[in-house]
Amino acid sequence: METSIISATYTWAQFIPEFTLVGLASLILLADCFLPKLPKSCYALLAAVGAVATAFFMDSEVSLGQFRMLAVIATALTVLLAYDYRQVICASISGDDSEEGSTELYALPLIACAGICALTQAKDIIMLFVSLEVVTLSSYVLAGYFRRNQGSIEAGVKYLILGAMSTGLLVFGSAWYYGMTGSFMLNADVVTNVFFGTEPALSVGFMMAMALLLAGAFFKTGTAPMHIWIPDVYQGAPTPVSAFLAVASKTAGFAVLCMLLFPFAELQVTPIMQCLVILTAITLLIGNLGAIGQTNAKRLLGYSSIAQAGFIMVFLINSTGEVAQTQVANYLTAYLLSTMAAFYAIAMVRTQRGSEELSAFRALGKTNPVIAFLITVAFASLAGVPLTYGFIVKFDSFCALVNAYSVWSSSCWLTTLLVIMVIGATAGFYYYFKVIREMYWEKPQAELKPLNVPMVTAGVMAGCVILLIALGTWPLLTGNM
Amino acid sequence: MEAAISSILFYLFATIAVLSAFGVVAARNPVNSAMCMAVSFASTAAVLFCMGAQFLGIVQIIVYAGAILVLFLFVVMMLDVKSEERSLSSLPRAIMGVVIAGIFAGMVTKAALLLPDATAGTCPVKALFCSDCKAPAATETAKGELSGGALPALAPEGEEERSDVKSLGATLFSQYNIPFVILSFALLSGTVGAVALGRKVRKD
Repeated sequence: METSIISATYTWAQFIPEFTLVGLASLILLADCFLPKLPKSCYALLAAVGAVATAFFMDSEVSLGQFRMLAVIATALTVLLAYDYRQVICASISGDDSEEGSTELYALPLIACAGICALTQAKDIIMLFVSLEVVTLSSYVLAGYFRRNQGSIEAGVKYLILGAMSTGLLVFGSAWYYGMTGSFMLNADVVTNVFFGTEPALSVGFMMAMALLLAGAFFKTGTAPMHIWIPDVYQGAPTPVSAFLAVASKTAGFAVLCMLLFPFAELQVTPIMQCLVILTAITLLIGNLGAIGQTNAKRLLGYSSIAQAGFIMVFLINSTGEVAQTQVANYLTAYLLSTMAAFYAIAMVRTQRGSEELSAFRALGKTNPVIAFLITVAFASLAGVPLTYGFIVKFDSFCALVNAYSVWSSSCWLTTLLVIMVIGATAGFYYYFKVIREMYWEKPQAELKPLNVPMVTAGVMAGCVILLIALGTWPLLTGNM
Repeated sequence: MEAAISSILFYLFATIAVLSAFGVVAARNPVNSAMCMAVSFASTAAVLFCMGAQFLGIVQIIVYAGAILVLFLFVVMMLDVKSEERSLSSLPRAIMGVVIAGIFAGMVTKAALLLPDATAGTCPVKALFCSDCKAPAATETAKGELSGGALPALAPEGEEERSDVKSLGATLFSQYNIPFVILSFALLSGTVGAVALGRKVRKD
């Protein structure tokens, strides 16, 4: 019986975008072997164009379609970032200007992206696990890509060990899930059968399964108990890879979380919701308070990524239905636009000023006023300043929590979480504005030359910022919040 | 009687597998680690044999113990890895680790014991001497711990005389065909990654 259900669940046609992405990656790798004369950086452009082209084939109307779109766009932006960052990439791989060995850095994100796309279409745990492994395996390699760099090796090893542990939890959770339900399918019927069936003891084991599966998803999203790897890996990994992990990998994590929690939309299982409230509160505290003392820009964005994950989790506390999925996707869109712009800025500063510390941003307001403005908007959006999209989604997150009061019987949990959210949002203003303060107020020690802005970076940053402002002001103009 | 023996064998091999897996982590010399791993693989294969999954057991031995482990040993020997120097980790941290692991193990055990039939007279030693005790096989798979939740199609009860290899193949290439293809993406990225990370680094 199970056979017919699963084989009817998927069709080959719905995986065409995934196969296109992997085909493109293989094509790039083959071209790298057989056309040694071609400059390697043109593969980056090819990969980016290909990824964007696949986005047009995708049906964004299906459930989690928005996540798929976000993943593809994030991958395209990652590869473009790698294109602008190629000077550092080449120096880190071969020690000189030769581009040898940089092609895989452009091809692997495509394979990882195919994994994320397949993940968003999963309807059973087998598909979910398999496609998540595609993402994880590619990310291990990407994180440790700069083998001559101590930080990158450390990032790779840390990510590998902690990632293997999270995979183990996921497998153990899947085994429990199958043991308790007799099925790998993720749908409301299966869950209802367990909770309202004849055997009450099964629900205990099912909770065990859910706890383990959620822990596996939390590793990707960067939610509290599984967040430890984030600052170290973001700081050590090559900047484009950090951007990929921050945006695409987090999108994958939230897709898993939405998928796992979706069957509970109608059920209101209190223990899971309480657990989510506690973890959200801890995530918000760790992310926001941890970010305050940071001086390295990539590490700051690492803590920021934990903090933002906390704000996204709030949507899932209120409900786990389709509405919550759209809200999560909207928040991730704002997060993608601002975080990508921030990583482009970091890569540019690193290439030309040789440092990723916040102090390297000094006096950008004088030397490059336009770039400084773009960076200001990106960080202001992360902090949630009005008139940016970041404000709208953060406001949405607060609204979701307030709406949850009508569902919950005990409101003291929610009130505590609300206080912590306010603390987190306030702390955000401090640490995101540290970058802005460096750019406009801090005096540089030496006379700094203006940065010379590569075209791709300029285009992407401007595009992100325009979208952030447009999406942030549009609801105010139309009066449709 | 038969059920009881297979149950005893299961517990025996499962214990050996877990203990030797612990040895992999605890051993200081990499060669000892690798040998412990071989024992762990072999006893996992034995557990698979006990469950009637002969093909998986053979694959486990051929692929893991035969190929992968030998590769490990080659690498250990070629790189001449010395036994690791271990800095003593601080006591509070070790205690915390033990406490967390203990709580987790306790939770898993408790949840397993709560399951239906978990405590209903299936002690293997007792079952060996009293023939009318019912077979504990169903309970063991329901626990889903070491038996991995029992793959669904490996032992289809309705279909008789269908070999293990056939049903495994049928499962992989019909029911789970698309996930199986997606899994090849993971292998592709693993291969590409091995090439990328294993490439010779030119010295300055």
